[in-house]
Amino acid sequence: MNQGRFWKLWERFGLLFVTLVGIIGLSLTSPNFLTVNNFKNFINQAAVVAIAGAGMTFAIASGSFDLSVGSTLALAACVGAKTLIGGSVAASIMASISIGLGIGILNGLIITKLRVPTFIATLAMMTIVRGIALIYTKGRDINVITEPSKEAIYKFFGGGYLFSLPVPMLFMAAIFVVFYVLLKHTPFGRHVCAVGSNEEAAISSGLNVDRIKLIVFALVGLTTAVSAIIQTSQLMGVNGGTAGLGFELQAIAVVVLGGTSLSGGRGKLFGTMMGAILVAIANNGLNLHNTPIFYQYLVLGLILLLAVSVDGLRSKFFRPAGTWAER
Amino acid sequence: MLLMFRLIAVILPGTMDPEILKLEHISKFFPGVKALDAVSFDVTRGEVHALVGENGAGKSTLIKILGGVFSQDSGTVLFDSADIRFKNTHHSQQSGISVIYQEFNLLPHLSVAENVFIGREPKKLLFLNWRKIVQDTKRILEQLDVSLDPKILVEELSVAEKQMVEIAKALSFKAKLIIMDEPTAALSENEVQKLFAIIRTLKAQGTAVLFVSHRLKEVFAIADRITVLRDGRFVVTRSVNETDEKEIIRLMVGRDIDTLFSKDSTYSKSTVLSVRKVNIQNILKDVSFELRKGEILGVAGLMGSGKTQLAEALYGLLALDGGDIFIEGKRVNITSPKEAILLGIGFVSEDRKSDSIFPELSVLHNMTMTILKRLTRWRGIVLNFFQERKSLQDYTARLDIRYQNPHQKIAFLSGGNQQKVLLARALAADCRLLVLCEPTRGVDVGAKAEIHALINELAKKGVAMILISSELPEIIGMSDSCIVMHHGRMAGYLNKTEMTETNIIGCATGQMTIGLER
Repeated sequence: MNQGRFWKLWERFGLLFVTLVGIIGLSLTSPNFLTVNNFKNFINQAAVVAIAGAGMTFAIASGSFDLSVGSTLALAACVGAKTLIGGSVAASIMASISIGLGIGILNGLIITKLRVPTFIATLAMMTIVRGIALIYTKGRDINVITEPSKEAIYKFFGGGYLFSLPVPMLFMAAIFVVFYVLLKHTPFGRHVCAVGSNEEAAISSGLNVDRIKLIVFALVGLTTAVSAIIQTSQLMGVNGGTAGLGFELQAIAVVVLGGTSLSGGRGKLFGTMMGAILVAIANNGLNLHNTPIFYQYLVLGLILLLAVSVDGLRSKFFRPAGTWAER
Repeated sequence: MLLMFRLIAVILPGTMDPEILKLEHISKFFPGVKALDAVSFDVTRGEVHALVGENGAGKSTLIKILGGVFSQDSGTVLFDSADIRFKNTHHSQQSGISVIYQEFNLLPHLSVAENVFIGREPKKLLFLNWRKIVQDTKRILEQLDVSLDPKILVEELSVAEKQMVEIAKALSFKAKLIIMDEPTAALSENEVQKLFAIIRTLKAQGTAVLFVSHRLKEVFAIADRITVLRDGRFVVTRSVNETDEKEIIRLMVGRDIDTLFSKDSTYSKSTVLSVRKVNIQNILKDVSFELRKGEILGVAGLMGSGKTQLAEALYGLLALDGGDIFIEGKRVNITSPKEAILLGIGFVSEDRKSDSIFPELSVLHNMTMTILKRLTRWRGIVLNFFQERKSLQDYTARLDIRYQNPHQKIAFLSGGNQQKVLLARALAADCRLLVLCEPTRGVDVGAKAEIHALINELAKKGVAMILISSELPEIIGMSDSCIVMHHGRMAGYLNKTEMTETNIIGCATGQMTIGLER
């Protein structure tokens, strides 16, 4: 096989391959890995990151990113949990979604109307929202204790089964299908990539760049809220100070791991999902081998470095046909 | 002369070869492409050697091999009598080759002097020897007869001045060979003359110059010899006295081209665009003109004359401070490109790379970007890929765009083909008025003739066009009438018979005004 073909295959199936190697390795070394219960464990974990990662893929394809998703997840979870204690399940879901969407839209408005650079705007939003979450909960844990019927319904989102498949996985699948269609089969998706590839050109092609960015950030907020609901439902409790800590970096990491370039212009949703699954499997493997949870940070960082450096090596040693025309 | 050098070299062993650079059978492959195929030629000391060829002929690959960006797959480079294989750009610079690329490698936030000595600043102990940097730069600039303050920031310089800084940088390396890639592409007529004076100075000082250009007039004005490449192969090296433009063009494209710059004057009487006393503070002052269906209006002017801004204002990229624009008799207020497109105005920008193409996107996606809403089913929600492909095929055939497959990234196409994709993008949006800024800049001769033919055909179909160009032959050949800008004002409004190089240059430099009462 020549070099070019190898890298082409690698680009397409590399992540899948590594994930498979991980699965095979873990099934050989741990008897508990290939059990239904464990599958549910890591797929539920993967879904939380993957769903917010879907929104983040859009943000990165449009040439920006959102640092506020960790705090958004925390606030959406806190508000959702409190609402659930006093109100209905529907009200709680609506509350979480509104918080997520609201913060996303606010991010978008700050970036497009006040012309604050994305990095600063979402960094500021990250600490503001975290602050609000802490003030709102007075720093205390919220434990969802309410009528058993309500609890049972709410638990369904994070731990239930439908057609004998875990619900978070179905949520993940549904969101990725919808987002895939949105990215690849609608004018909007094409416009997102256009903005990420060359904003000047997007403006002079008559695209409403501000509106596109606003929608992208709203989508990030929306998906983060869904992640928040699934996570809250799994834990049936939340702490405003610690929920979603480092989540923004995880979400960005799985997108990059999935092959979406931070320079924008392209989005690889399937890659994002695979990235989230790979990270979840790695964490799961560490758990099964009784490694302290602190190592998970280390491993995520190493996987990310490895993935991106392989990509860097590829572009160093192999230039696809036609690169010479570029300068 | 050459023979004599050779004789001396033979008679006196140990003296220098007359050639500074000798390429022997250089080949370079990229997956699926043979970019260079056994190219051999030489450059003698103190010679201005022009390298010409269409885009994709292999010029840029060759330059990059000499500049140390790529290394050849086979063949040898003899530089200054030594067999060298350049490991990287630094190695090539140290050996005495300086490449000045079309897009300069200057750091805008640093001063001229800092740019000249970047990476090898003279030091006093641990600190920069600031005074020496400035003095050495000054000395080099004087040597070039350029009056530039070494302490000024590069971002404040004009394109022409930036080029001087690049040349000064090359000289500071004691370059024996300076390679200039399309050095005149962004220069006005005056600036080109100034550059040529500098090249002659360099030549007199014994520095060889490899001059890569599309503009044959300039090649003939400055070069001693011309080497033609075609499809990655060496075609011929000719002394300028032994050949002419026509022959070189024929050698470059492998066929005769005689349709350069010609427009059949056919336009109707109905006015498409009428611009009245348009003002933009400090940029445009009282610009008025009319444009009829199928008419091409040329806009000439030196750099900074406001001709580009005029185009941008018509496309909603710049806001007006006063004046009126009428389209088909209706007064319009164009505040964004989106509105311009809705009004049927198309725009091809002067800077393809920075504000037109989407480099990461495919040829297909680049072309259909403005018309996606139309290529959908289910009430504009889902894209109809079949329809999209069909519209691509239509325009590909109409504009003769060449690419390997529609999903190829546009960045991999030649400049001419990229430009055609952008024209297709503008046309696809059904425009009745097309604003073209430097439509053939950085485009090879063959593609240039094709673009001109295309413009002509569009005019016949009734599209009104504004052609902004810094190439006078293009303006004179293609337009039905022409305005000349000078310091933001119109200095001339010329009809077909008044359009001569002398008149246009006279107006552009502010020495005369013609036809303003119209």
